[in-house]
Amino acid sequence: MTANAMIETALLLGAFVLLAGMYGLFYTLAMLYRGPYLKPASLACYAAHFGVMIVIVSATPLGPWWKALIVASCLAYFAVPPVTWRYLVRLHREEGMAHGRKRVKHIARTVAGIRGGS
Amino acid sequence: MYRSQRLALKYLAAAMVLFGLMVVFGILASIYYVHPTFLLNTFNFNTAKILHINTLIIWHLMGFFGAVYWFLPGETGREVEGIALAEIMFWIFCAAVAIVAAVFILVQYGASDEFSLWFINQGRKYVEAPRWAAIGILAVATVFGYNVVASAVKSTRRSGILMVLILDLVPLVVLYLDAFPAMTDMSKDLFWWWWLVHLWVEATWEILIGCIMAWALMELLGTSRRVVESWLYVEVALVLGTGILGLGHHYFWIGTPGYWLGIGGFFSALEPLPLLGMVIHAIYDSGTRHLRAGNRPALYWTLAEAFGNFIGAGVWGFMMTLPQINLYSHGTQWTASHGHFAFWGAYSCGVIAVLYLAVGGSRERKALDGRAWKWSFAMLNLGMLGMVGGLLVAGMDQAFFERALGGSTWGAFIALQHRPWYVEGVWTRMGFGVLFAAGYAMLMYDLLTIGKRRRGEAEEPLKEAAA
Repeated sequence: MTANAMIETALLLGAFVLLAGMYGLFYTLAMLYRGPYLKPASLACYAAHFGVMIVIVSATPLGPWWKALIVASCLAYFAVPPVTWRYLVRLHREEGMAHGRKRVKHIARTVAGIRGGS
Repeated sequence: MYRSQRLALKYLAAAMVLFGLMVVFGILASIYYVHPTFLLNTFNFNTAKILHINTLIIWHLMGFFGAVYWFLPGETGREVEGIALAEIMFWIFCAAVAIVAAVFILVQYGASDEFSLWFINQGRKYVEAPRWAAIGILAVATVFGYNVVASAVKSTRRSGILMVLILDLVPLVVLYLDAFPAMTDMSKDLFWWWWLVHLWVEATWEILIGCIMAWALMELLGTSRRVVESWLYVEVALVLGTGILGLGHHYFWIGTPGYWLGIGGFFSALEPLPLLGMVIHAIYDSGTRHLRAGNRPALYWTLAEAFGNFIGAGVWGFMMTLPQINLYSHGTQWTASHGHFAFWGAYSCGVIAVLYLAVGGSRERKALDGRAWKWSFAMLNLGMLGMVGGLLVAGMDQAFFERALGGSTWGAFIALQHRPWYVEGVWTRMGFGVLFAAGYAMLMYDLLTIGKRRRGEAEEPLKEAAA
């Protein structure tokens, strides 16, 4: 690997994860607030992330196994925000159904316990 | 207030004092990069660096202990078992830290013999404290473990968070034993030393802060126990699944077999995935409450923790974790950039969040707000971003010029010191370090006065939160 290729590859790898994070951020905001630009912004970030993956695979001197790992990571990053979102929503919904009003009292007791004194 | 919570406040106060010392020695260390003869033969770079890194580790450890002592009585519904012993150990801990710091500053180094190892410096990076003090730290950690386990045993409540914490305490204490061996084979020494450094920082500490943040979320946002516990289990599984064998990225160049290149690179590449999940969780929890919480500083520092962890550990780490890049980047200012950002995001922000919760609790104020915390929040985070940015530029130039082009020769190292990108990078780091120090001063001012200032200012967010 040349000196230039080393810096370029490192920057691409950083951009790869950063764009995945931005995709996750906008995806979650879009699900929370339903703003008109949030969903397209999340897709744009993932498209840029995917583009960076293509550049890494086609133009960097990493070996084939490492490139395969990058491709697999790219697919995993696509799934992480929706899977996490669904898990969180289900968790909160089940919690709400299971406890109903008791939940509020339970939280109040917990907080009171944490703050409690002798 | 429980005795344990009063002890927690002492631990958190001590952590803040050490945080300040870490900043002072950090700025001092940054000056040597722009004025290499600064305090030459009086107080050398290596001593400043030792103090900077060791205060970093100890203030976080004290912060974690403080956080657990704060939340534990609420969790078990009773006073912490063995609290008197814990109080004694706190003062022993403080005295040991003060003596070790005095020895590092006044004596600095000794001959290469057993006396130096026991009473001056163990000579192992990050755990330089002399052996007597290392035994003391082990005793403090053991008593802390006893406090947690005994309190859980005596309590009728056994929560999932507490069980995870207890399981985590075993490796937390046992791995510290790795601070003691003095092996003459450098490869073997580094092999085991990384078990302490990596598995503490990227495994046991991650779980510890996970438990602490779970309690913090329950108190801060009223998130239910079932939700935080379920999420904690998932996080623990993912963090351990990727973090334990991520250890391999430290084994690339220390003389270990070649298969570590594949293992270390593979698991390190997976490490950002759970961090992204944590970011989504943080946005979900704060977003569903429209960023409203009584204790606003704690909420913002909790969010900073999630984002800082992802960017500092995830983005910065992934840039340099594959062996092809790491060959050139390891041990440069690039690594320092990653280390600063990752520690800040993963741990420091979390400890500061707990500090605000403890301050609110101790002053019996559910709502905390004002202007000072916003200034300190902005200055500390901007200062950190500037420092890691400067270090990244300097580190990339170092990897490019000194390592890749210069072949890691002494001549290339000397020539690097005059390269514009490198010089500007280390100057930037020093400048933003001063900003960070100003943010620390503002943080201390705020922590000492918040909740004591005029009442109306602090109560407003509570009304918003209730709305």
